[in-house]
Amino acid sequence: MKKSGAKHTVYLIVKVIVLLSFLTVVLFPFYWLFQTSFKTPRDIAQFPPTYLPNPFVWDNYATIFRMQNFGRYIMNSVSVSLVASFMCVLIGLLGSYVLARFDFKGKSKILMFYLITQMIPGFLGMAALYTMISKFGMMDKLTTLMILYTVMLIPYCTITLRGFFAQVPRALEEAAQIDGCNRVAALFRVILPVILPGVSATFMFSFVQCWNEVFSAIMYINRSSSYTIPVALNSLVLKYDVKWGELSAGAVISIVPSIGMFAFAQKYIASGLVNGAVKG
Amino acid sequence: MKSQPINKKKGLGQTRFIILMLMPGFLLVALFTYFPAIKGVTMAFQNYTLYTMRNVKWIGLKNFQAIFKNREFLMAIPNTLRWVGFSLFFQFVIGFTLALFLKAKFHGRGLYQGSICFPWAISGFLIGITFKWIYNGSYGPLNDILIRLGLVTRANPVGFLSDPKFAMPSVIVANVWYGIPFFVIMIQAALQGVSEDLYEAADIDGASVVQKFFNITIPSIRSVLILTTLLRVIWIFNSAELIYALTDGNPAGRTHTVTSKMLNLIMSEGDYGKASAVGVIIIAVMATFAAFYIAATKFEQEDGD
Amino acid sequence: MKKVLSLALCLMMLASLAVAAQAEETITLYMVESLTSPSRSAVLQEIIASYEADHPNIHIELVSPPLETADQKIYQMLANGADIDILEVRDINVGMMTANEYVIPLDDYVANWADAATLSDSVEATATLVGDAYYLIPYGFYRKMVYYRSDWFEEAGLSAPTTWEELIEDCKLLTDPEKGRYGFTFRGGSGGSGYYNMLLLDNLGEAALDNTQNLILADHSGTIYSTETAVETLKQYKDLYENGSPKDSITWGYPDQVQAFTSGVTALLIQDPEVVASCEASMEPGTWATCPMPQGASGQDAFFPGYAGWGISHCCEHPDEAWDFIAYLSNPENNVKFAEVYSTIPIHVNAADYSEFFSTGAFAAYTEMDNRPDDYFFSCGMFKYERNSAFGTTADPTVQAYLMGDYTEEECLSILDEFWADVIE
Repeated sequence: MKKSGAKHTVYLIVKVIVLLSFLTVVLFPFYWLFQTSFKTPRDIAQFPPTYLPNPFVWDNYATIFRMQNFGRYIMNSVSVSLVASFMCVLIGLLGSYVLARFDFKGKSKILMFYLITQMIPGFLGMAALYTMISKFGMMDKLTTLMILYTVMLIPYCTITLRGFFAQVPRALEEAAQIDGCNRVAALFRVILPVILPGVSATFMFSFVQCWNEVFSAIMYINRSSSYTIPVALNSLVLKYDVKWGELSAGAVISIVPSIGMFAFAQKYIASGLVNGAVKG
Repeated sequence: MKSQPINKKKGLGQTRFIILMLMPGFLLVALFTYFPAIKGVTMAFQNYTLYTMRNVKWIGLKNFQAIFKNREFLMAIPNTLRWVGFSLFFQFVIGFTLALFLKAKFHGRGLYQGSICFPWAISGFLIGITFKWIYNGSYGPLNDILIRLGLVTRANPVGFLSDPKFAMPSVIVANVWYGIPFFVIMIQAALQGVSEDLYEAADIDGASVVQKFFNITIPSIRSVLILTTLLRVIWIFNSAELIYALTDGNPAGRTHTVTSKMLNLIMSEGDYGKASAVGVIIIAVMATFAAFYIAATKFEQEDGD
Repeated sequence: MKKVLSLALCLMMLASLAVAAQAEETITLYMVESLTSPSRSAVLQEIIASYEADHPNIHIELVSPPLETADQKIYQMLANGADIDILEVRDINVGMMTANEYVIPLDDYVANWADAATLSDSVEATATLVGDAYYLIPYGFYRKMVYYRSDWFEEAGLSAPTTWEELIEDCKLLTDPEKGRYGFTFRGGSGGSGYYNMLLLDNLGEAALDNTQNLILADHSGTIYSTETAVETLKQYKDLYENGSPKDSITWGYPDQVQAFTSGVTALLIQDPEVVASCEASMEPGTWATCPMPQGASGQDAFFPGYAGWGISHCCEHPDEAWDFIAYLSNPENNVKFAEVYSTIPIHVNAADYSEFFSTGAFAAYTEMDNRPDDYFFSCGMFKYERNSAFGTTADPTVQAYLMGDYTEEECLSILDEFWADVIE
């Protein structure tokens, strides 16, 4: 079963080279922001550019926490993103389950119904949605963002989870139903653990989408105490200048919670629970 | 195996169950996405600009006629095909390769996976302005690195965003960079769903790596591949914020896609009517594409084996 | 469905009425910024706090959406007619605001305003340009001046340029690609065609132009783009780009210009006073200086101060209170405080009494220009024309395409000329 030694070594070398070079390309922009966040404005404006801060300063971090209420923005972003991504995955699970498992008229129309939402440019509904939010008294509330983000991601969750459901052998839930589980219980107790990698990946992507959403967060939030991180970061882009020091400090901080999220979700994405479940 | 209702007996109860499960998503999307968007579509047939917001008139198809006479819009059509085609191809191929490499456990895999997800952690607009700095043809670090490596000279730096030869490829590279994590994660999650038993059986039959890939891996994750790729095509087509932040169509309209031209019509000219007309065209083209794609992949016919 | 909705709406309106009745003592005014910057918002908050201390019945809620999306949000708020009382109106959108009657005229207020006596001429000239009435009280002006690397100029034995011809020669001289150094901070991207217009107007001179529409010739025989001077100027402009500017600058916008100048890539920048703050933060003192704008072939320089200010929205229920605050914000003391932080030219002629900031250092160039009225003439923009909002998106890529060699001078100018053709009568 082992591949021949030489061939395997070549494969390993290729793999390491590919992985490392890709990592360099991925991380360079972040390294650039990271080192910028510890630089003074004069250091940032060095030409030719320098790659390490000299002098090393914490000023940019101090500024964003003092002048901008950054701690608060992180809390807002975390709560909005968590609630919305949980809701959309839940709603997506329900819908995608019946789409994957039942035959009924109009099934493909529902798929199209969701797909088309992904084609609609955001500004198209802007005016009407703004009026609606205002009339419903939903202006300036974090709950509004939670709802809008949930809606924004329901189509994605439904479509993607449907793909993951299709991977699961039908035998699994038939067995569960014979055991006396009702359909919803079968979904959550038997199938969900099997597609946990897919659900985690979907959740993670949804979380990130919420985390980065900026247009609605600017449109429907007025008070700065309800700002999310991307709104605060965008405020540092001025008409004539980009506040690079503060912006990169903010970007570095804003990355931390989502990296935590990745670490958490990764465990489940790579969990490979499926084998045990199917065999068992 | 053909798709079959699980329980034919409970016909009515089943219909109710289906409706109940689909209802929450359907209602929310209908109310917050479709209702405003349908009202928005009417702008495409009106002289809806910043100057006429309180005096809007119906003008039939004039916006559409104007769009097809717009030089930048016409230049944007081939650009859009390049933007979608190249972005998707490289995101998919690189993403798939990495997902395969990451399938087997190795030391530091978790850390690696976490690191390559970094591009997800910041918004497209921020990515755009950061790349704009990195790409800059005189003070940007990328040119500086190339100069230090001796690949270009200080006197002749590469105009990544200003040279017509490089501008569109540079924008696409940034987009590929931004989109790879999506494919890595999705494909990796799908690969976890492929049963090891199948590979073991194939090994016994003496199948080669390539055979296993095409006979087991691809068919097993087919449904995920089809759907994520379709979604991705639509998203890439519809994403304008990266181009908006990086070039906004510069130089001389050479990097506009249809979608970024639409954003430009709103942000720079305040012409909501023409922008909506472009939006309507985009929806029509994409919906047609999606319908053909679904039919061609016979997606609805073969579900869950 | 409709009935349920309207019932819900009625209930909500009743509820909000009840709330409003309860809180009658305090009036909340929403004030929305457009050109947001964190340090500027902080000064506004400071002024608001001191105003609220004197007026306990007024609460001013400052809304500071990030600049990029701010105007879109303001338009939605105005269209929706709620939660917006005082707003930042800009030169580029005052036409849109008046066309839709989104802002109310302030003439009656200005007539009874004590501090109006010290307002500079630019205030009336700009604020009443569109709509023939005060629709905003400017908070300051953006007027172009020259920023240059005094150390490089000295090293090369050059003095600050006084004419465009000199400027172009200096820029070519200071260009040394081997070092990555260039003369002029060219702007070929968004807003780039404005620099060509500037040079063209300077070459044509005041006498050649219609004094109410500065892109039209005095005799109404055509636009400024139909002249022989326009062709010559275009060549001059291309010369400046090709031989005195970084090649990459063909796509640069405002922030790219500033970053290039402060990084020491370019020797000379023509920009607004805001850049003073960036230069102070990012450059060594003594390496840069400012000087008045150069004159064109006509011996003159056209200036059109960019402006923005505060207006009152059509849906404001307490315009008197809103005006009272705008007047407070625009009094000499507060305006100077604001202008110092935001680096704009203040609106009161007696600003120097409140701060030395505007008569010394980098701002001294403005005083010098003010003292030479014959060399600088006021030129109004084309802001009153609705299509002006689309001119940039036509002119910028057209001039850019010319510089890249896609168009000849004639092709480029005919596109610009045709854009305004039917404005001429």
